[in-house]
Amino acid sequence: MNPFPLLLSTAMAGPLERVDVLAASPEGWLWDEAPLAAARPSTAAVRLVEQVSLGWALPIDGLSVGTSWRTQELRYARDLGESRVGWVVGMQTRLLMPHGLRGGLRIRLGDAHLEAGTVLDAGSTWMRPVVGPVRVSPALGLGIWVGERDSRGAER
Amino acid sequence: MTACGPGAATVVAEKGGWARFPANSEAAVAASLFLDEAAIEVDVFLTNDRMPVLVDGPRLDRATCRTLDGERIPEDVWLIQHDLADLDAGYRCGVAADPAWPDARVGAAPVHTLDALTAQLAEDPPDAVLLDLRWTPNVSHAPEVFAAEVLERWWRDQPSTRLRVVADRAAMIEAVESRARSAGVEVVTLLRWPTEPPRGSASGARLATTLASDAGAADPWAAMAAAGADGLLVHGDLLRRADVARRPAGAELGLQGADTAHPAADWLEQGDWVLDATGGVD
Repeated sequence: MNPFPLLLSTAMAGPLERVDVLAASPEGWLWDEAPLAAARPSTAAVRLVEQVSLGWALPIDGLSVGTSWRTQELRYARDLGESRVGWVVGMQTRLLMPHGLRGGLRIRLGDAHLEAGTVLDAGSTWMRPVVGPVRVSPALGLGIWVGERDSRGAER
Repeated sequence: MTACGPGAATVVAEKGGWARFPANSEAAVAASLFLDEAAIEVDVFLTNDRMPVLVDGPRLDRATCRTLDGERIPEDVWLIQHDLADLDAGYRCGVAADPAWPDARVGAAPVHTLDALTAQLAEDPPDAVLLDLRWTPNVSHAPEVFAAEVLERWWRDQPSTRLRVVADRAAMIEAVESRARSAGVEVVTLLRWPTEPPRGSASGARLATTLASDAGAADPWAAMAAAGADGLLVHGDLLRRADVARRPAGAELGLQGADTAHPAADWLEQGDWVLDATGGVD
């Protein structure tokens, strides 16, 4: 996978449109870190902050970029007809090294954004640029729309 | 023996079992042997006259060691500047409670040595021993000297006990592997990751490592490969489930700074290690 599209997209990113308090990313905080919160609360707190993702609209309809300390994601989302339900796919990177793909369904409930799907994580980093073993895990996202328009460019 | 803990990893009495007696002390090791602990971990450093002593860094611990008069040690006692005889003649350790384990029993004793440890283990050795070589740049003998003094003594006195050598610097790992190769002996080395101060505030170092590894700028397995080690000893605050999933084939994994009740211990497999200050036996 080539990080160039993501670099280009990041450079073209528009206004902040959404804050994902729980990001639908590999090593999801809910699955991997929350069960250990009692044993290592400070690490769990740091990792909760690390995964908070800011979503930036792009000029192309449905395309947006999510950025957090842990992950930079290029994602494409569409609604199913006129409903508030839609689908989303994304390519995730760490320091722009591609390492994950995800797909899922999303729903808008007022200012809230809910998402559920699956993420494939190859675990690649610049320090260890190898693929695999691929880890498949559930992805659950919870966000808040903060911009005036969503990623489709439509009025919310 | 209590060979297995959660996740089938072997439970190791950390620093001899420093929740019960002073860290790396003869009493701690004796208690662990009495309780039939499966494995024991101790820290090793070299004195000026190249004697391996069980101390977890380049200095005597001022919190728990005292002069023979019972006075606090006025300034740092660097092991590289003192022969073993000087330490025996001037200091006792385990005198005061360790802030990490204030309920552990105290008892003044000379600094424990590797020679005394191997004699202690001779009668009923545990299944395995982890020697944590605390080599520190600029205040230690050269890594090659460190490796030679420790390994030659071990091979002479404990040839049959399963050995794991732990170090947190690539130079020390390389020296151990090189010595083992030249002696025709197989040694399994574990890289302690990340490198931390031996005592005191290590939380800052762990936070920095957490931020770096989560962002993809640091990787424990890459560090292990770069050091030429055969496995990793990772702090329980840092280990991620994804790290366990991406373990290279054949690599051993140990968990430190945790205990058998730590949820991450469940991620480990047979052949892995969980360092527990109680050795898993309360």
